Amino acid sequence: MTVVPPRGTTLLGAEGARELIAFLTGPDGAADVAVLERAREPEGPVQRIVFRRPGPGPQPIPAPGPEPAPEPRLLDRHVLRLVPAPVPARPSGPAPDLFPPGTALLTNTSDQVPGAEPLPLGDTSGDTLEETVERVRPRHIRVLVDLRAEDAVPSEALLGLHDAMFRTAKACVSLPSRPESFVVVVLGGVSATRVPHACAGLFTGFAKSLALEWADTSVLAVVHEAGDLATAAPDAARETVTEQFLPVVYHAGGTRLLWQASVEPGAPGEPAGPRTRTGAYTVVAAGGARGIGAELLRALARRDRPRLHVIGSTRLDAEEADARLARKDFIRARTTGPERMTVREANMAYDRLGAAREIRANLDALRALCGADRVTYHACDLRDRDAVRAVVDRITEADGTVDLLLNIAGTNRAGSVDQKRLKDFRTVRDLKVRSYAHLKAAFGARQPRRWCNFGSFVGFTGQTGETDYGAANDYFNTAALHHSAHGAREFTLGWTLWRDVGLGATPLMRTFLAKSARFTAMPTAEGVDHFLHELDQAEQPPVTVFFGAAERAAIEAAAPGYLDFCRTADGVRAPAPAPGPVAPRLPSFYVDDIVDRAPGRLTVVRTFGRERDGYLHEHVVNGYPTLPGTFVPELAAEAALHLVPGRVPAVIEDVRLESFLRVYRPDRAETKRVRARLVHEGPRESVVDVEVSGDVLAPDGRLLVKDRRHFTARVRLRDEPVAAPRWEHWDDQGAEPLADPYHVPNPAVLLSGVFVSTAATRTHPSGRRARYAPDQPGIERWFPGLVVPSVLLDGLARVCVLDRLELPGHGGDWTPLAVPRTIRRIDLYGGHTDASLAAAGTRVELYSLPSRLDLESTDGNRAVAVTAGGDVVLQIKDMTGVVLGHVNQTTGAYRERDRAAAYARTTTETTETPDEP
Amino acid sequence: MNAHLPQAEPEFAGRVALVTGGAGSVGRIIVERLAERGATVLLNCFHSYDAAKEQARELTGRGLDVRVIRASVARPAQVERMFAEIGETYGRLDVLVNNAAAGSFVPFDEITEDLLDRTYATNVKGPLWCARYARPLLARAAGKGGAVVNVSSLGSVTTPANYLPVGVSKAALESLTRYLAAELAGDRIRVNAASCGLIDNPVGQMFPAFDDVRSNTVAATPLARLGRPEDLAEVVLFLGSERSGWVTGQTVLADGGLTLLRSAMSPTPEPAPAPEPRAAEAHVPGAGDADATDATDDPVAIVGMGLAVPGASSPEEFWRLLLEGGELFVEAPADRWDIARFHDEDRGAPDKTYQRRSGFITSFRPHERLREEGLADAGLDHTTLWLRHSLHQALEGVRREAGDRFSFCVGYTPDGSQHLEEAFVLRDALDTLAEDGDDAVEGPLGRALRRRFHRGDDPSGGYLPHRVGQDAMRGVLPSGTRLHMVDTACSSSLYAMDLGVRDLLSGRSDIAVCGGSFALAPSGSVLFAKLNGLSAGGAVRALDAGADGALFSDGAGLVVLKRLSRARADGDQVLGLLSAIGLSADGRGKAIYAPAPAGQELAVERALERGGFGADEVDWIVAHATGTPAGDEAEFTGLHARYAGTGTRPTYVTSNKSLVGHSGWAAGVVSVIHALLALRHGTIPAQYRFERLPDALAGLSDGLRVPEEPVPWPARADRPRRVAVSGFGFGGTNAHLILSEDHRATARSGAPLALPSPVDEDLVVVGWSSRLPGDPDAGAVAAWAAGEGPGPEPSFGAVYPVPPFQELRMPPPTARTTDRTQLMLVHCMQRLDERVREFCLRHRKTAGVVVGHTGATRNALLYKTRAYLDEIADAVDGAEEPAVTAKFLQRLGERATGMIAAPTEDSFPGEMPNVIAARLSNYFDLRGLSLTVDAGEASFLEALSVAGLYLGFKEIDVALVAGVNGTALPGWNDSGGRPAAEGAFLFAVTRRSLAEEAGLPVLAVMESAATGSAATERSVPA
Repeated sequence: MTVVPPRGTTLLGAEGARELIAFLTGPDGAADVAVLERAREPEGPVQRIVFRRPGPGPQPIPAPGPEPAPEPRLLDRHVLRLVPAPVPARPSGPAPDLFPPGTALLTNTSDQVPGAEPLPLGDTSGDTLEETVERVRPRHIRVLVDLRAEDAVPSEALLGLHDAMFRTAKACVSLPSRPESFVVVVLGGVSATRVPHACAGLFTGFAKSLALEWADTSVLAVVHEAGDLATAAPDAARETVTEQFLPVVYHAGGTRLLWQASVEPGAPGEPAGPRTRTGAYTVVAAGGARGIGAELLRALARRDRPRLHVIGSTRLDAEEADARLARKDFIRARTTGPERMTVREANMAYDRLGAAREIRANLDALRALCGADRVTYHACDLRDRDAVRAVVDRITEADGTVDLLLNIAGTNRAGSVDQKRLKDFRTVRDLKVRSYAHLKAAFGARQPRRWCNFGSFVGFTGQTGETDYGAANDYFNTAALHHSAHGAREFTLGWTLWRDVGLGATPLMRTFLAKSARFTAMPTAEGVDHFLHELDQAEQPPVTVFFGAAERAAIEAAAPGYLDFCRTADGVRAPAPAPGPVAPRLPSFYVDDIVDRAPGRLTVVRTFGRERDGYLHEHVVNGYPTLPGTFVPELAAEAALHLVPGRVPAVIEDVRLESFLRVYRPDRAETKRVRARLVHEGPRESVVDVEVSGDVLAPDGRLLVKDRRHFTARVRLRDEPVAAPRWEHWDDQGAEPLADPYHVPNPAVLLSGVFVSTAATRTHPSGRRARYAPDQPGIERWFPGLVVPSVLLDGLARVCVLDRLELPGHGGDWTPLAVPRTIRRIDLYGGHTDASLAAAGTRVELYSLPSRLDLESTDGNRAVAVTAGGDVVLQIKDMTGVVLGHVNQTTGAYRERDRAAAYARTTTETTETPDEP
Repeated sequence: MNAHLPQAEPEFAGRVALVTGGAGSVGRIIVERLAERGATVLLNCFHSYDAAKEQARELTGRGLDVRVIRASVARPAQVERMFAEIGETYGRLDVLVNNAAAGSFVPFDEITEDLLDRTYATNVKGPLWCARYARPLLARAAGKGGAVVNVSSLGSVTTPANYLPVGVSKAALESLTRYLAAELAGDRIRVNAASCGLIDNPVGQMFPAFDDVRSNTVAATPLARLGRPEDLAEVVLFLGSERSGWVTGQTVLADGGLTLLRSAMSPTPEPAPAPEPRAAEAHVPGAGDADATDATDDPVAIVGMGLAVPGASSPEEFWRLLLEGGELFVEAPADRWDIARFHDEDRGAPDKTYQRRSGFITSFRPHERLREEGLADAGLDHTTLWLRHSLHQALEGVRREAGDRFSFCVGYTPDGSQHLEEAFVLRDALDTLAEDGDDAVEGPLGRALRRRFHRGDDPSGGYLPHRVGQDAMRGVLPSGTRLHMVDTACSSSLYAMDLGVRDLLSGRSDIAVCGGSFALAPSGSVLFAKLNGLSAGGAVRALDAGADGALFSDGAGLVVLKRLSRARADGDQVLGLLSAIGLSADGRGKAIYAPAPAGQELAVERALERGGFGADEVDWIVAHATGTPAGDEAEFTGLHARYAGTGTRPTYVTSNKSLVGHSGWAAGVVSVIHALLALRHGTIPAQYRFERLPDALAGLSDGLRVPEEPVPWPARADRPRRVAVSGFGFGGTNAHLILSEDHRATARSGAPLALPSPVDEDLVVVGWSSRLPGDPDAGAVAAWAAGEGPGPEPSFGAVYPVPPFQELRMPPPTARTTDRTQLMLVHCMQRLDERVREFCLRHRKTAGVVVGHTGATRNALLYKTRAYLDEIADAVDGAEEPAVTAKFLQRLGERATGMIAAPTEDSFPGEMPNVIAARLSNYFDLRGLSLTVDAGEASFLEALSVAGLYLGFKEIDVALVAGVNGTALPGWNDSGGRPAAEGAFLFAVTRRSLAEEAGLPVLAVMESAATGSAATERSVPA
């Protein structure tokens, strides 16, 4: 028997007291936090108590008497928008040259600018970038960025350009004198509808911070809609001699735009305190195991008790045994022996241990709130694409679509351009930018329902020493605007420093803050309030920034008059196609006016015209632009949402398509009434019946039939989109390609443009299938604001007809051409829209079954649209239709259906056959 | 499985049953239960085909026989096809359940012809077609003939809002049932209908304004909840089985008594129902976070109970016992110990008790779940077994959901475990034997010892207090459950309830299970006998003139607590509401074991005050009264002062100790269950073994009455019935708790739960001190703590250096008999920084003591071996050559009696772990609460956590939190092979504002405490 030497003694019931005394009597500068841990028994639950140092300075003695009033808010909530600029005092004289003599040009375009010295990007045979700067000694720096080919997440090449921009600035520092100007021109950086390109912020954020560092240099970023320099250059040149507030200006649709930060308290949140969440509510926090994030997670956990996944870089499984050593003992142990570390390494290792314990304590607190099994920690380096993907896969596999993603991770290494190393610049930028990109990519087709980035006030104004941090955070601003405009619910919160946690709470920063008076140190409780308040907004503005009196003073000093501009009334703001009002925005594509509203019902009027509803030209039935029956759910859902704001459509039932809705004449609009009636309002569900009708007029405008019914449907709304069920993709064995008959020229139904939304249509032993191939520009043009993925629904419905039939007397190879008549049920999952699917590039597969399907019978059938990841996006159950004719797969010939047969098979009294052409 | 038991054939074995609409909420339960009871079940459905297939897959995966048949019952052709298929496959059908139904809930004005037609087609015509096509198959049924069960609804004879189309169709269905019964009787086919009121399922929830409907329905239902799918399913199964073989043409209704119209026809006008929180809201934590009115609106309800006491293994048996009485004080049963070796008529005989009888659990009937788990006779510690039994019982019918967070709060002492006692005795004896070498340990003497003391031969240490709690709940409550093992002696289980309440109110937990457990062991009786506290006559006569002392008993009990809103939303049975808890400590008194009326009265006063009750609002008091004349007199006098002379009716006072004895650490919860049972049954049971009050109390009989006959205690219109429960702990820890009936008719139905809300303020450490062997000063301790100085000796040695009287003002004999843990802490307090100690004393009324300590004290252990010497001698008698045995016994005896002197009246309080805390309160006259917690090596951290809870609630302003160990006996309680070391550490913790007001230095801020699971963390993928 081996004798195991005892490892010290145990104080049994008094265990842990020794460490507490060590903490209480520890020298100044020792750890700020002590985590006492003991298990009741080996492998049993751990009891854990955290102690921290009491904090600096004497605390004021609170006045006796009644409860103190709640602390007044130190920070105000501001919403950032691009708004038309006031007309600037136009400088006299002609526009200056954007590229004056002595200019060095850094660009990712092929534009040549005579006289400007090109700065080399990447590896070249000649001088390096730094050597070129050294040699040329430029008096002006121009950075020309073309974003047209860039995705929402920056390419390696673009990040390379970003690096080069920093290197150029840094190289300039060692010149005898700094450049007179440093101007960044971003081409294709904003859309005509005033939506910035996601990557614009990388460059504007850099410029804002550089401008503060280089007070004597004219630093400016001009973001232009135009993709060509020729168009943008005159505007940019004029901007170089225009007085600016912040050194960033946008040009879109011929309008000069500036950021405006307007104070908007936001809608009152839900009452404080815990609330109900029906069903699962999954939150993923990327970062946030410590610091600000931990505080906010705790608050969120206390209120919502979500299923919580926390992703952090610290591994928690290592070196448990060392966890209770004092720093001194630990360092002594680690700096001796064969595998010894340096003291610095040992110090860092000890800090990591401390971090791990802090995280464990935070997680335990979260578990105590959410339930032990409902909080999972994932150790993962967010900068590692594959690791992020693996974690996200695990999360979505276990818990389905994530309800809220908190993108928290970030680091900061302040330093002016001359001090900052490229490595640090990249580290700070990449932890935010690459983590973001990796998360976006990892979620793929299952993007979180809401996406919240933790940004910074620095992203809004820039800050000395923060060219990297400012760039990354301004990227969050533009990225959120970009994705919001494309249907995602993404928003960025710009924080200032927190007084007690995170970056602001280090001793150094505390001292700095106290001295500089440039920042408001926000108490934790206030930050928590701001955060929860923001989550409660029915519709988050894409960019919100919080700041108070100290920041206002700093802004006023740096940009006199800017705050006045921010305070200008709404009138200044042109009625913009830009991001809509902050009040809960209801879908309104098919809602012109609400003409009648009473408790539980309303009537919407919508006028269809060939101009505004130009897409109907791409959906022609019997020669007339015709509203697809698959758009009826959208009409119904929009009306229902006006009746029940705050909920989302989940199910559309009993869709009956009784007569076509058409625009017969170019000169005569068709006005339709959509009547919605609330038939049930419950805690889980609201049920709304919708009827669409319109008067039938003779060509001369005479009223033929009053209020003829087009469609009816029932909409079921819930609090949250229904989580997607799973679908196993079919093995493609036995599939045979089959042309989509709707795209073959024929007099019955001809679809084009945005309605060509399927590809790879084919039959399959189990049914039919196709791939969804959305026309993204078409969708963005016509349907940016729909709530039901109607184009997808249309494509899916069409898959059902794919068949190869024999027509008696006419041989085989015929495919029926049908229009839907009734749909028993449509299930919407996950809150997708055409716009969000197209924007995310989500790959969607379409299936129809069973294999033998007669749309004119009442046999059950089913069609599903499924993401590549296996989540069902929507499902059609039990659709019936009317076959208008058949298209020959080989010859393309069209045979009209024998009308008598068609009538014979459609005998439901509520269903009419298609209108006569 | 017990092979020798006849294997009962499942009820539906060999039968073929068709359930239409079998994928619905009720249908799926019918399908599942039919299949579980042996039937081949054909699951018919139409719309829910996919769900049905999934369901069938799941059931067949469990080895059940379930198949799906798709058909619409509203279409005769499909019905015909379905039965043709059944005929081809099975040739017959035994049970047809017409469960498929259609219809929607719409207001009168919105009823359409189409809706009526569709509803009628499915609900009336469907069963008719099914019956017709099934008839030839049912006629061939096995056994006593076929059965048709039509599933109806209460809406057929009543008129729920928005229900007309379905209700009318169901009325037709019930009529159809009668016609079919007559038509099909010729083929021996029975036809009946099963009906039910509103069911809490997705269909029921589709009722417009369901939440309102639910609360109105529950309020009008005598059994006070909504129906569940299971309720209806069981009626269906009964009507489908041969048990209802003589029933046909009938509609059997399961509605919890709703149609008795009791609520509508009762005299008390029903006020508008209180706003009913939605189900899910009540599940949200932190409901008590900040809002002071919260507790008022949403008191704590008791929704479950379970117990084991002498003569009763369940609350129902306990009630019978309370009504009928029983002689339960007996000599120790043979399977526990032989009293002869612990008894002596001579009260002066050392290490003996003068009383042979106690209250034993002798005919324990374990809960069926315990049997199923195989734990009923697996040799668990008695206290673990009875606790787990009570836990299973208490959780019956209590709705729990995944993600619920639990607290498990148990009043407990290491001195209440025969297993622990035998473990030490065995270890000590073997240790003595080991002096002769390993051979001796393994030899005949060792074997004989291990055989006799087998309970203690558990290398896993299941008898350790923190293990008792863990083992009792393991697998029943989730692993993240907050476990509190709390010791305030005989008020422990009431303190456990108080802790559970605080966990609920502070949002830490959703459900709290609270109570206590205690098992008799010989040495406790010996020590108590030295206090002359035991009844000489062998029967407890609490409150009676003939009282001559207490008798201890085995016992365990638990109650389940939830916020009332949650309980109602869950449809739990609300047994009563916890309206107020008053706690107090005696502070300085005569002797630590002397009852102090002032302290008890303070607890009563606090409870009444916090509940906002007048004394006349309490009908009855279940007193602590243990049957010791002095104790009963002090208590009765105190109750008289608070309760008597205030109303026209007397306040009743009883004590169940006369019947079931004093179950110590479980006594409080046993009294709570006693009170809840009386609320339920409307009767206050008579005081058992009672003739008249003692003369000293005879003058106090005005206003207080000890009932000699059962007292009817019906519900009253003006206010809820109320009952108070007292529990007083040795060491002066008092609790008085007030329970109310859940009374819907009065606005103050629940009455507020008398606890302030937790405050949101930093808790800070303002001072510390320690006491270690060798008496190092603070600097030396700090250096040792930092790992820089030498460590102290592990032990103070065999004899603790008792300070001179100038330092320790305690009679020297008492000091010598007092465990070192208590003395160490007094020392710590004296050594605390002067300003800090002054601060504590200035706040003495609200200064509490919370001690972390694990296992039995050193003194307790040493007394155990002394008490067992004769037992050991008996165990080894004849095992070995007499000379060897005699030598062993002599050595053992010398060692045992040499380690500690024979017990005296000071010995019991001197060794009790809870008195470690109480001693500090007593010595320094601190009046806040005092308690000891046991969480193994996490005890000190648990003490910090519990102290934080009380500080947060402002129950106390200053907490003296200690971690202490005085048990460094070799081989005892070594954790992980590390020998135990002695020492005591004391920390003063208070709220930041108080510290700053007093100008005290803030040494550290204590942040929220958490319990985590190391195991889950490790399993997290990296």
